[in-house]
Amino acid sequence: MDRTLALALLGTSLSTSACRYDLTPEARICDDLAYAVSERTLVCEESEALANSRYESFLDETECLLSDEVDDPYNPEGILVPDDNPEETERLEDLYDCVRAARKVACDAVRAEGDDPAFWIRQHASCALIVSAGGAP
Amino acid sequence: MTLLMLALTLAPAEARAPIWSFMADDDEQPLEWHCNDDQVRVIQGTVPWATAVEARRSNARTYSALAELENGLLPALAARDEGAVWRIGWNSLFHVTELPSTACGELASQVYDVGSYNMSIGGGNEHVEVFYSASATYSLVTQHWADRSLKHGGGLLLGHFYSLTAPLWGSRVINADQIGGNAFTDDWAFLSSGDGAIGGVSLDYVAGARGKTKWVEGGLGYMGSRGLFLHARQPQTGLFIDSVSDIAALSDTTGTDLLRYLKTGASGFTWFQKKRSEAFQKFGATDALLSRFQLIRPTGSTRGTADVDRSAATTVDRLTVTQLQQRNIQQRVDVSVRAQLEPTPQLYEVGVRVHTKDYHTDLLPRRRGWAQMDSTGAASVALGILNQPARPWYGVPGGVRPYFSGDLRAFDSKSAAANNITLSVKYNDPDTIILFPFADNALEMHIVGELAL
Repeated sequence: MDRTLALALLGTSLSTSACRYDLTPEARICDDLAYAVSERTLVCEESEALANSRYESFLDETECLLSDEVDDPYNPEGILVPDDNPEETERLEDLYDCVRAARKVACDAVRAEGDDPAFWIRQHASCALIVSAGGAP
Repeated sequence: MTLLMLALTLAPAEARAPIWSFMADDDEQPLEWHCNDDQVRVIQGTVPWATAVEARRSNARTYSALAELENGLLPALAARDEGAVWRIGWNSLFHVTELPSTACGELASQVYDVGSYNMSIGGGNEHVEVFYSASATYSLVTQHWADRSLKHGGGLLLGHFYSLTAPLWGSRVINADQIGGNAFTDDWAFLSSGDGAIGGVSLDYVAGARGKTKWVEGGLGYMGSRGLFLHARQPQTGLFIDSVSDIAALSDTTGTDLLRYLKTGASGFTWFQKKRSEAFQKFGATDALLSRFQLIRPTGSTRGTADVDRSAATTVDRLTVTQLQQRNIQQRVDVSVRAQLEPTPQLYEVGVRVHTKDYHTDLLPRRRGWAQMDSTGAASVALGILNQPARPWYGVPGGVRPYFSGDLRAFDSKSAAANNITLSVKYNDPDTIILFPFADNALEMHIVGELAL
């Protein structure tokens, strides 16, 4: 009996150890954009203080338009989504085009306009789907 | 048994935790989550992604071999008057950063880990020693550390590392056998498959010689990644200096300093008390340290047009830290305070360590031919607060974090020079966060064996 119980526990632990990743709220993309602003500022301006303050002010002066809750992968019947969802994957990749664009902004432009959150939002069309200038509501 | 397994697998599913793999439907038949490995992909071009790509060939490489030499081999040799020591260790740093990913249309994150194998060998007599320390650092994104298997065969002798295979997600496999020939260049070190797998292996080493007398000891070495390594120590006071100079900086125009690494001060200063004295037994010894690092920044100016997958890691973070530590109070307790002086002055760490009586072998009285220790084991537990600097350019918001570490060492005799093995676990370790400033809430594990030859 003890052996059966041990096998059961082992099987359970193996099945749960097949975990692969954490699902994340889409608001994470807003954070990733703010990180990109900070990184690009550091690279272009060589100032950690400015990279920190610009990160803080970007968060303060923009409103995240994405959900801060984890998407529920269950359909109304309570059954898992059966397969890949390429349309949603493409949508997420498109949103991240904004982050990639922010990481490539020319340093001259960063030095001239980097303090303005709207400048970063203008770098790609998808940025307007992630944040809006004007701060949290 | 089936009912038991079903009940146990149902529990996490009902909780709807973000990490899961199985659940049961109304018919009590388990359904597998169909978002398989091929459908889970890291999103390239984010800040954490760039950090993960660059991290392995920057800080991890630069300081692994040096740490092995300074914290491992040289103290081990100091416990012996003659003979040789061979050390080998496995180190892993879990949860260095989280990479944004997609999983069947959902936003997800995957964990990035760094690890290293360290090997060093050294020996000589009471006047002259030669030493060689090497580390092979691997890095990889793992879906879950329990899912990963690493197969390691062969060794690190002469700095050549081989037969490390690191399965990444999907069917991607990196085999160091194929790339070991160019181990000391950066060209091979970055490996990225088309679907975003990140991984690689890099090597570093320090080789040199050291001479010692009763009043002074010193050594010179060559460090593979940086250049000239210098070590000098005055045994009675514990005054010491360790430095690494980057000779290439003489002709460098990127603004990097000649002195890439400096650690100086006093270690194990006894205030001129004999180690058997009552005062020393009560108050212990003092460490007063100043460290200055130039860490290669694992991000930076991007190259070309399709460039966000590879950045030029030529920029550096300068970091100066000072630490005051009192060790072996009542032979059981250490207290430590550390402050960051540069770039922004701030308190960095406050902590306390409780340990067994013989834990600090460098503070044991020398008793040639006698058993130095009361037992063949030593252990410690440390707790403290780490004030992690904010570094949003690495995706690290910073703030106050608890830290914890514990280690256990077993010797095969009651001598500090005996064969031994050490197991240790660390969480948010202040020393690690200095070298991996992009790590946040990272967990380390170390296994180190030391053999007296």
